[in-house]
Amino acid sequence: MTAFFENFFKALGFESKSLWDDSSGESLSHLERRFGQVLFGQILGRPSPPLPILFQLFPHIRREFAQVFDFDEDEISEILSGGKKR
Amino acid sequence: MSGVRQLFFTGKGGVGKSTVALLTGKFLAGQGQRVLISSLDPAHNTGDILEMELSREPVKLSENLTVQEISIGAYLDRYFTEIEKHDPFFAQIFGAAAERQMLRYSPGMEEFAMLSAYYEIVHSQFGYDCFIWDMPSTALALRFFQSPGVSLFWLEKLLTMRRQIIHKRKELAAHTEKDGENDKVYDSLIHQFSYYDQLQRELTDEKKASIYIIVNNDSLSRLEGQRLRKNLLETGIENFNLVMNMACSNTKEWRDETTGRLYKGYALPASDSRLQGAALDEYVKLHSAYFDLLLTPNQ
Repeated sequence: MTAFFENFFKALGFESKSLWDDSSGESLSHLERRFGQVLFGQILGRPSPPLPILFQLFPHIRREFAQVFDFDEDEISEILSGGKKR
Repeated sequence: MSGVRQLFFTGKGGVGKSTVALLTGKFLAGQGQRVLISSLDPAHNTGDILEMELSREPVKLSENLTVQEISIGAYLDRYFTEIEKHDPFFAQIFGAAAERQMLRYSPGMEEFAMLSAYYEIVHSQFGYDCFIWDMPSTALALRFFQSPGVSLFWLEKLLTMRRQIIHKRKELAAHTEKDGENDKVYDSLIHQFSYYDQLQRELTDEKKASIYIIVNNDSLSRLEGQRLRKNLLETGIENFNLVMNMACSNTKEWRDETTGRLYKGYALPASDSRLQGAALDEYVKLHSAYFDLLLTPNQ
């Protein structure tokens, strides 16, 4: 990837070292939460992947959504189906 | 699709992108190449220039030349419907017509639809030697060309993070004597990576793809052309050429020093008559030497 993108990314507040480096010492939930934070960056006021990338992942990212926004997966399903309000 | 060429025409609004695309298509068809011209510009005017109605259905203009106008909105609607089929989650959030309309214009969507249209046409329409793309003006065209590289950048990062998650899951599964589960997120990321990687390779292949930045002999269009050139270079895209449409002199090449830097470009002379309908063929006959030079790859 070109230096342009790396610089662009850093300029927008992402410290690549802490986000992308191997962090095998961290807990699974922490890794999932961080993955979700990058994925849902736009909602969190950060740069984020283009929407089409996110849409393709939609069916498989309940867990990440739950981790980032502090819901549990069942709760998300209920809210989305018009049930319980948080 | 080995040997098939992709020619893209873009530039500031009103510089004659569609006209130059059509003229080039007619020239190549006259040389015996089988050409498909597709307009991806939401503000289509290929049909206006040809003085006929055009749509998604390809229309044969001559033995070797076919033309169509692509509706980007239709590609997006089809894409949303496809996602809904597999995911009620999406339908719950973006199900209403008003929300769907807003989603069409959300960041990333228009260029995604254009890339989908490009991919589908190139990989399903066989029997052509050359695809000509009448592109939108500068901003949206730039996003189209940059989109594969930007997507690959994000996908690389997400894949790195996802590998860490899978690794951690496998570690935990070993302790609890369960198998690590199949990761559908990872599979989707890999699938998307392959798609954008193929697009990136196709669009930046100097032997097969050329981007023609059309300008006129005025400082505004030339400055915009130079900005487009600079932005493409910054993101690693180098397979472009500058073309001055409606050039004053009969020179086939020109040099632009608008901003103190020297740019070499091709030129197409101004026409004595309005370039519509049959006048297009006359122009191509009269100026074939200009097109010969313009289409010589990688000068």
